[in-house]
Amino acid sequence: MKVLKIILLVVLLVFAGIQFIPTNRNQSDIVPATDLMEVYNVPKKVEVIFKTSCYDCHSNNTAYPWYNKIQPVSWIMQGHIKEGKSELNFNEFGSYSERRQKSKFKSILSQVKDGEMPLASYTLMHREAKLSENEKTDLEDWINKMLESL
Amino acid sequence: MKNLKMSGAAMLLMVVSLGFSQETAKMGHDHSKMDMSGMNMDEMQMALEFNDDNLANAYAHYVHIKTALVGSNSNEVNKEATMLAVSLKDVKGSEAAGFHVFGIESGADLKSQRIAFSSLSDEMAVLVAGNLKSGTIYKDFCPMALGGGAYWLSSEKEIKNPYLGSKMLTCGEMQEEIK
Repeated sequence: MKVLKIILLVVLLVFAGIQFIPTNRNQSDIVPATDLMEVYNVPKKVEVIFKTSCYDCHSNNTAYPWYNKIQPVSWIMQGHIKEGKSELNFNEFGSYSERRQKSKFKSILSQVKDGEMPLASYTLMHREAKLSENEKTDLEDWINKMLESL
Repeated sequence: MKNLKMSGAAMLLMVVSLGFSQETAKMGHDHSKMDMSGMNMDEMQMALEFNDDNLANAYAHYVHIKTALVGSNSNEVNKEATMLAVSLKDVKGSEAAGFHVFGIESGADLKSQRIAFSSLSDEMAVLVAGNLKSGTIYKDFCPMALGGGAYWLSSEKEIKNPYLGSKMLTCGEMQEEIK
């Protein structure tokens, strides 16, 4: 019993301690000219899908939820966003080579189809970001059209 | 699942430590019934009706929080959030919504309350979709809210922005009709 108390106290102290460790915030007011929506004519309904389901981790501007203030949530999110942006940043999509754009479009298609993206841990707390079958079809149709024209 | 349980336990712990008494819970319940009848009387268009009374109750409290945010009344927001937390307990699949309500309750100022409210709004939209017997709920969006834009729900077509205070009361547009 005494051991348990000590363990609990240590956990509590660590939890309190890590709250003071700062994290970088992924936020920017600037929408660069290389943004996907700027370089291509994206239909409104597809734009909404990208913005609600992808942009939090794949752009320079994250709409942080309130619980991001609590560690270790901040860390986990920072890691996801960093990784997400290095794979694909829609704000910089226009600066990618045509070949890279094509391969990114193909990856989006397959990952969305397999349900790998958006991440399950993301849609657990952002249920509106979960793609319905209709939304998937809209997204796929538009990307297929882009792939033909590129 | 384990994580969810743990965060649930943490939530409980914090709620208890914040000192919400049973009394406030009871008050919240009575109050909710009163306000529901008031809301129905005010309805101009086709009356908003839900398949689930508990959800109707919760939505009424959500609207109260929104109204308090429109008026930038932080204390009122907090009170209504406590009531919403109580009524959400009877709504199926409302765990995430309940978590965001907790975010509003623990928000120290209007800014953090509004950030949590935007998450709650997204979640409420999912909850009410497909559960309306009659009437329409409008999903409104303001691109200037909270830096990257934010949504809220409303039963009226008129835009009353809960995010930016009295200066930007009418900023926003209807994006979706939930029926």
